Amino acid sequence: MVIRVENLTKEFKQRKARAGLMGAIKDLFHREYRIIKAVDHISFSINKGEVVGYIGPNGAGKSTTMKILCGILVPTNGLAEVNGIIPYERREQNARKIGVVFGQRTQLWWDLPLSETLDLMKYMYDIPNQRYQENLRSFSEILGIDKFIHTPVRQLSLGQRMRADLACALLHDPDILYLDEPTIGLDVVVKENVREFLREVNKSRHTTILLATHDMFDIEKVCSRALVIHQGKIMYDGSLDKLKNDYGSESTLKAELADTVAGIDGLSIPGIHEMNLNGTNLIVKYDKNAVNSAAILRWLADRTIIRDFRVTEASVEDIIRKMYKGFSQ
Amino acid sequence: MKRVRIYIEYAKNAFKERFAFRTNYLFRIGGRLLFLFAQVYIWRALMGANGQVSTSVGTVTLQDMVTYIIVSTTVATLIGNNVIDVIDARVRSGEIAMYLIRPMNFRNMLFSSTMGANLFNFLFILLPVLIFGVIAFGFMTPSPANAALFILALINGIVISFFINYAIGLLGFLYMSIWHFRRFIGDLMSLFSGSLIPLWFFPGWLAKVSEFLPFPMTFYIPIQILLGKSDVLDCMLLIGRQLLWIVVLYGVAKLLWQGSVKRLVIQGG
Repeated sequence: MVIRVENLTKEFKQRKARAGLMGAIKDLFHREYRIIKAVDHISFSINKGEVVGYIGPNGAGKSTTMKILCGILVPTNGLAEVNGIIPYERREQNARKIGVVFGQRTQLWWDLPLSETLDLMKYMYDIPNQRYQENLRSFSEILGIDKFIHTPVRQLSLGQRMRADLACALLHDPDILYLDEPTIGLDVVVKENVREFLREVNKSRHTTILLATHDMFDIEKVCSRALVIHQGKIMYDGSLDKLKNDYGSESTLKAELADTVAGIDGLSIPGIHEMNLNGTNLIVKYDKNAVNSAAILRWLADRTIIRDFRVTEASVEDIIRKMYKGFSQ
Repeated sequence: MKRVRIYIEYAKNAFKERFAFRTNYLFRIGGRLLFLFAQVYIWRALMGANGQVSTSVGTVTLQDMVTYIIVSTTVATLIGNNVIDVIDARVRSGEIAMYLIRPMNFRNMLFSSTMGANLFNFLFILLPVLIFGVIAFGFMTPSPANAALFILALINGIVISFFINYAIGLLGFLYMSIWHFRRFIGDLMSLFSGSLIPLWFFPGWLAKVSEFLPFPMTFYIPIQILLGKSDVLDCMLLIGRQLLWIVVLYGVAKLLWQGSVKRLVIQGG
């Protein structure tokens, strides 16, 4: 177990600003605060080599958890343990073994060529020169950073900068990689490139990855486990497959029929949620745990000719959208 | 300090960073020269033709004053630093997170980058302005002993100034907005450091007050040593007081750090 979190709670004091000029004057003399629980008694643990997707709406507590694990925020209550140490008590020691990419920020030296920051990493983490060169070469291959390594960072595009930040976070072979929105604002090709890179890093280096993102494709393509957080509480913790099974049992069958058939609306097999016939196009939404597509097709085939059909399972995106909707109700 | 190398490399990067903006540099050195001129002419006007004033440290000649100004204007590029602004900007934007994820001591990181910037300032601002000032206005050559003690005192002054600014910057961890407090300290610093006016000219009570403050340790004490206004024993005592202040400020900064890092709130998610 590389990460252990028990009953972790982080509260923030937020000032209640009163409205209007009188409110502002009142605020000068007496301020009111409210306590926001960014993270509320959460517990989970992550094993070595796991790739965990950390999912939740804005303000759910993802970044707060990450920052506590990085050792840069001190929790109000509870415990976080990374590699057997308490990160916020031994920030520097913890920092040697982790890599961090916060998508909205950069740790690159803005006014210097990228190579200067990468060089600095060698000394920052005492990376043996040979290992440093090896890593740099392999990252250049996948991420293509050698093409802009001599460009000042401020002149890099967002996609280049993000790839550079990723390389920078991994040069010292960290045990754990924390990623907060690493694909935000990137185009489809770079996104795919980054995901491919993360899979590769996890496979070849057994790096444990905690990935917070809003992009469900990131989760689907990279992660094997999902951790869903909402309003500071863990709502789901389990494998991605189980998530799909438990919450995403609704599948969709789209069929093209030879001709319109009267009475087809009368399809009454238990487990069917919804069906729509538009000309010769039929869309059936059903619970795949209650009924299988073969049964539906058989029922249709008895009544008409099926020209073509396609079955799609719920994507993680659909599932999460449904979960979020459930939360807000 | 078992990991000295990284801090040296860090300082090197800060040094290299200074080369990024050439126009900025030209304005800085131009500004320094202008400031030097303005001050020399003000003091010439104030002290008149024969240029002698009797003060608490004895008679001060115009040449004393001109030397003081040349030195204070040039070493200001080393003693002054932007540590408060750097901390403030990073805390406000939340960028501080990117510095705290590094296996480095935050204070030493800032000190390294200040030293890197200082090396640039020394080579490309201090030396040219000093040479220019000496040629244009003349200079009182100090004795080798005074010069050596001056360098020691100057280094202490740089460290003291760093700690003062660092400690004030840390208050930004606790209170998001410290602008007015900074302004206040900045004004205190200009007055009591001796960067604008030597403390010789202070009335007795104000000079007494200044003895209890760390600010004169930055500009005034080193320059006083250089000008030979104190004998060697006194110089040693002054340097001793500087060292005492370094210890005190180091302790204060450490306490502030321990208090503030626990309460750090990182802005902007």
